[in-house]
Amino acid sequence: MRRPVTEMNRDTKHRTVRCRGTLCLWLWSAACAVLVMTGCGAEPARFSLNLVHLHSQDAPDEKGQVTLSPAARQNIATVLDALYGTPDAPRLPPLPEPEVLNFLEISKLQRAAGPTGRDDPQGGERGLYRKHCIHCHGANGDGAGPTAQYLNPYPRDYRMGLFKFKSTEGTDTPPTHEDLKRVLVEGVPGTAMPSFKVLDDGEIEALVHYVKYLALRGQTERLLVEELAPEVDGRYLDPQNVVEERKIELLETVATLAGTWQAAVASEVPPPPANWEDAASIARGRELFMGKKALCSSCHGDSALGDGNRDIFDDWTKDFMGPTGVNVSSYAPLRLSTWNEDPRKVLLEEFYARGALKVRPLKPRNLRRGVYRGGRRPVDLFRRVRNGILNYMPYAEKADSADAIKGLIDDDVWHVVAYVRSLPYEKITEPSEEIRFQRDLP
Amino acid sequence: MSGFELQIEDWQQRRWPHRLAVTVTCATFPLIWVGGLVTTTDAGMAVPDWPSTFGYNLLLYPWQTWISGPWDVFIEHGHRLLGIVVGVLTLALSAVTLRSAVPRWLKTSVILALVGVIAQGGLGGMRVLLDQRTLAFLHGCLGPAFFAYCAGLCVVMARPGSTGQAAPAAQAVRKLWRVALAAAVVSYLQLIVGGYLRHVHYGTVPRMFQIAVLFHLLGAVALIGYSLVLLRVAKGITAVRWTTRGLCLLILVQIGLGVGTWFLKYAVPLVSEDWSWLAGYTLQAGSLSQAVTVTSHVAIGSLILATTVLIAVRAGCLLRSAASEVPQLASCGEVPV
Repeated sequence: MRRPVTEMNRDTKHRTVRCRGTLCLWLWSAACAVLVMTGCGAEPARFSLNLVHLHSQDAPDEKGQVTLSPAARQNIATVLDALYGTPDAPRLPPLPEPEVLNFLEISKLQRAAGPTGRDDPQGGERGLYRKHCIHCHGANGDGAGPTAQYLNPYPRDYRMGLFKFKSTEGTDTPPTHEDLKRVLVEGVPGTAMPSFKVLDDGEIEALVHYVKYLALRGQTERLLVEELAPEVDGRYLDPQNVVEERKIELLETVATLAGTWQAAVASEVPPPPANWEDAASIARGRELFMGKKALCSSCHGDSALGDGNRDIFDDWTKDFMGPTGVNVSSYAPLRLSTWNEDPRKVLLEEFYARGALKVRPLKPRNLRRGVYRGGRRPVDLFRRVRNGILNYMPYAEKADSADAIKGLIDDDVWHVVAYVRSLPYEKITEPSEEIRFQRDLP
Repeated sequence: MSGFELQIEDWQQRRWPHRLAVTVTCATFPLIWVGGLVTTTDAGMAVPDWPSTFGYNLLLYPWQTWISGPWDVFIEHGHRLLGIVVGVLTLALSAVTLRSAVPRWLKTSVILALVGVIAQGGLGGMRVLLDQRTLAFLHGCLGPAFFAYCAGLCVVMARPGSTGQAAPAAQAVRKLWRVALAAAVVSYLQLIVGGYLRHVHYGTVPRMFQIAVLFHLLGAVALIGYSLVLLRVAKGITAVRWTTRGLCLLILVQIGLGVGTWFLKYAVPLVSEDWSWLAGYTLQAGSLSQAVTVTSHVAIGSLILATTVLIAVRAGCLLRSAASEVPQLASCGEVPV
């Protein structure tokens, strides 16, 4: 039976009203969502504390449990802000001897910091770090930006002040300005670290200065957590009750740290011997490579394919692996059946929850590719062998003579370099006659 | 007067709106391309003010300074100028459509397009004034939606024609409509997730980025599946056969561009040490190849969305034609006022 026309009209009208009501509700919800996501509650950019390191101090270790209260943590954050400013407005610590901070220029830091943009069409671009680096290296320079998990190797965490490819001697020595600049300009082949050749020199300079600034800030934070704050649970750092003596002590410590950056110089590289890279030089290099003095083959493998010892972790991972009791020799990621039941895994999970990236063992470089991430010039390779790479590629100790039991003389280092450079053109090396096991290594 | 004569008379009224709708759609695609380039080169804040450009009226900004200025300013100001062109064209489309004797729903649709373009311009401006990446993300999501909407308008305004073939089975058309609609929804979700990845806030935890990448990959797989189904369903429907083939081609290109985008931005983390060429390859930040590949990925994504919408709307028109017992019409504009 057909319904009367008036009734149908009423139904249609009601439906239209309902539709409009629903549409308004949707629009209102969308507007609210936009407001929540954008304007409302938007806070200026802030540095965050190194939660992984803080937790590593909380975790039981040989020193005993050390816990920093929330108030102490807040004090550390406040002191750091007072010393270094914020990501939008960086500043330099007010040291009694400001010349130790000559390696940092505030104008360059200001150019690299803050939001991306430019103030006039002819002026330089600002916010360079946020534009080019932050998505991998993070706002704190923690190497845990949004994209980090997918990158191999992980982006560098600046906050320990440790850098892999540097020309300075010593594990803890900071790199030189030129070292960092070189990595930025040349990039690191085979990794996600690109070459920034498109940037002009002023922009590169600004970024290098900002990287050093983040590194110094991170080192200061570690120092506050490890050495100063635990003494009195950080109370003396309370900005409301500054004890002048403590303040001076703190600034002196920062000055000491800054001094290491200021004093960083490239190590001397002696000229290669006269017969360098001839057959005898390469043969000598091979002998050293396979032998117990240089120990290269223990990690890179007898074939130099990078198939030697895989039980290696970088310093950033070891930093939090240590407190969990997971050390290099006991961590076996491939033996998942036992690993999943290991209580140490739970400890690791605690660090992951605080922003640590998943533990990955390092893969020694396949030297037959002819690709050297720290630079392919002979001088770069010499420094790699002589100075090592932080704590996981051991440095070649200096020896007085070629017959010394330990260490290498400069000429021998050059011979190892000669052999390494010849590897891409050599047939796969015959395994050395001597079979060595990890336990037999010194 | 026969039904078909009514169509012809109706088409006379729709001729100019249709031409303008096509022009708006064609002008929007380069706008999306340049907009993508703005995000790729992070040039969104290259001009700090809005609606003026460095204090100048947007249209009076010296062209010599614009052309010879820095690249990011060139891109951002160019994006604004193109935006004005699209805005004016949409305004013209609305004015002409409102003056034409076309169905009321068509007039409403065009007004909605005008509202969309104004909202898009406003979002772009607010993004600059508030310096908010979230607004940039929304701006980046609304742009492709507007583009696809205009493509849909082109279809409903198109001249009705006879294919000279038997009408396709209603069941097949209905399936086509459903699958095309689903493909359009998935491709738009893909654009949203892609936009999130491009505008990701630096404070986002790596886990979120990882999840978004996973969703993006799953979406790509779903889209491939939908395109294959569309290809099969559209076999017997002349009106969309070539469009569907074009869609499949676009998706194929898009996959290549997606792989290229990842490689040029983040390298290949797992196999880079096993392949000689990859092991020695150094990424170049801001290189032309990177900018073109990444931006093309964004632009082709919008094109895929517009194509799926186009197929869905055309299928809808076919269904409508079948319902109104006027066979072989591939346009929706035949509904009398």
